[in-house]
Amino acid sequence: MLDGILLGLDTAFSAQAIVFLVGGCLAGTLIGMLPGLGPMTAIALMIPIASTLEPATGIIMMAAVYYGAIFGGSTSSILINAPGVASTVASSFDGYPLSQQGHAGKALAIAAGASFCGGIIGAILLMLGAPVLAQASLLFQSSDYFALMVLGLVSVAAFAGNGGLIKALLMTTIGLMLSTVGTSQAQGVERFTLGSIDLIDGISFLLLVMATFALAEALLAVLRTPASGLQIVEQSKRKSLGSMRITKQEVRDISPTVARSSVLGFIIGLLPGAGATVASFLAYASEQRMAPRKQSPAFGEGAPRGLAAPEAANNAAATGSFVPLLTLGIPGSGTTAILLGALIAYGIQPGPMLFINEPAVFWAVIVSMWLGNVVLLVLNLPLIPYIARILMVPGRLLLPLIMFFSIIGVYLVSFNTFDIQLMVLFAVAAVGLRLLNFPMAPMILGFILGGLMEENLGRALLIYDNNWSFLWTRPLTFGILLLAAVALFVPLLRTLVNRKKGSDQ
Amino acid sequence: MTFNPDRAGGCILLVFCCAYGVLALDIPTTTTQMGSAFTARTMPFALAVAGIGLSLLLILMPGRTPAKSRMPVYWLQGAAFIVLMSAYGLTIRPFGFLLATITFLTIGFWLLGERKVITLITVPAIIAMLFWFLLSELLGVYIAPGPAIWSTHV
Repeated sequence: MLDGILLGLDTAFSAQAIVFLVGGCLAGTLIGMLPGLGPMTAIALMIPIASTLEPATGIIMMAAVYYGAIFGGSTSSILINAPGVASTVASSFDGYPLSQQGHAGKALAIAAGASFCGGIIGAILLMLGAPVLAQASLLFQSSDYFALMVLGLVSVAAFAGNGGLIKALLMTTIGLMLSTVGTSQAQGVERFTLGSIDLIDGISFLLLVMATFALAEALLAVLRTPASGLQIVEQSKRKSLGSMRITKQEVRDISPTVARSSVLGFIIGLLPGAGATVASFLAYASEQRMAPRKQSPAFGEGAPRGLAAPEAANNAAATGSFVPLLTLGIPGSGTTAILLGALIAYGIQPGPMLFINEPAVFWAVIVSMWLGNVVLLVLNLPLIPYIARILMVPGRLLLPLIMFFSIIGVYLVSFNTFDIQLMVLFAVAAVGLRLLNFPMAPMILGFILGGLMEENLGRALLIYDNNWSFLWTRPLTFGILLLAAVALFVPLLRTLVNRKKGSDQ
Repeated sequence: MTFNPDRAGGCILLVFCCAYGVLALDIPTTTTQMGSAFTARTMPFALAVAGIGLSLLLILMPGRTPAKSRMPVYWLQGAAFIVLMSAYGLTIRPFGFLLATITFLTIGFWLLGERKVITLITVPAIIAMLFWFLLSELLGVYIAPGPAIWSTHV
């Protein structure tokens, strides 16, 4: 492990990696701060730049963008009560009241400190746990990988649906369908190309992510706001941040909360589909329950513990979600699905062999998490008053710029104008589906895992001589599929019962 | 049966899944795949069946009563941007990066209510030129700055 850490330090401490780490943290904070634009959009917008870098540097930068965006989301939750992402909604419960009381600076410092601790604790747990899991997962065969992917897809659909499990499953299926467009890798047969030469290589992952997140997000903002009202923050909300100092007593009060929430967040982050949002809400709720009776009412009215808990948990969960990605090659969330797509685009296959074949990437990502959290605390926090000025940029200027960066980011990869038209088409479809409350993250996950799933299933059938019995005769495959069935049917039954109740009422 | 957003989405996706299923019939199977349990058609067929099943489930399930949204949707503004983005895609090659980008941003700013002429001209011009310089001079990515007719390449 020590060799690995040294290798990671060597890679992450190169001048280029540090420049892109700092740049990624700043860019992530900037983008994540804009209401509506979360880590997925932030990472999507940075992929064109990452694709020009070496794999280790590119992944370090994208990981930095990830935690930068979560930090940025917390900032907008605290300052203007407009969470950039779902995972920072819980931070606004106490962060915004603190800000309203004139303690915005203190709230930001608590959020940054708790995020830092959550990230560091998460990175230590990741460092200890990931190599062990990677070694264990060397026992996995194609059939087990296929089962794991089914589990990942089902779990993400079960969580991402927000009560609409069937819609999430349907979107996962749509993503899988889109992944079959182009020439099939195993058979070399053209599928769903409609005779177009532009579709022979399939739909680009970058194009789909940019269209369904960055472009669709900007289009939704255009659809929902009148031209005259496009200002992200009204003049009345522009306030001074106040002091960023936290008292010793406050540090003593929030320390146990941060430790508990970090461990809880990391464990939840490990579970496919659960992610930072569930972690932050659970941490908030458990701290509220554990708070002494005299402190409990302060929750929701500016309690430092109420802000520290979700902040530590969401950062630790973001770190935890890297474990299944790095060790099994199975992304546990939409954001890590985008990172998986980026790794595949680099020609790197995440999974147990990543630990053996690409140790520099593996350890550099882990080491970069420590560095990224240090950068966020040391560099971003003092810069917040300046970074927050992006919220003052009128939306009427910002939205066309987001559209421009999305379009040009995709065009610069292929120099094919067909991609721009396809991107607009996907963005329109995504906007329509989002207006009908269909989630997009399961679709992206399905799209990214589709090719791998088909490949592993095909290989498993080849190994087992065209016999499907491996699905129930191989214990590991069967066990994982059983878990997937439980993950699917428990929420499905709940959804059906709730809907029945709803229709009866 | 009321027509709620879930059912509307279900209907749209049902059409998509049916079309996907029909197109899956056109996937050729090579002679080597004939006796195989897994061909290029296997996964698309399974997905089409799953997609149709889930869409039907969504349509036939008792839907949730939609909460009336009071937020207005500015369709015309959105449509104008869709046309603008598509036009940008069509013009980036013949007009060149600079002209197409400046036009795209200027019209975009104007559509969203920016009326200061100085902002409408200078901001897009500065951004387009800065971005082009960054690409071509710093990142080494060449993108034709001017119209195709200026190009000296044959």
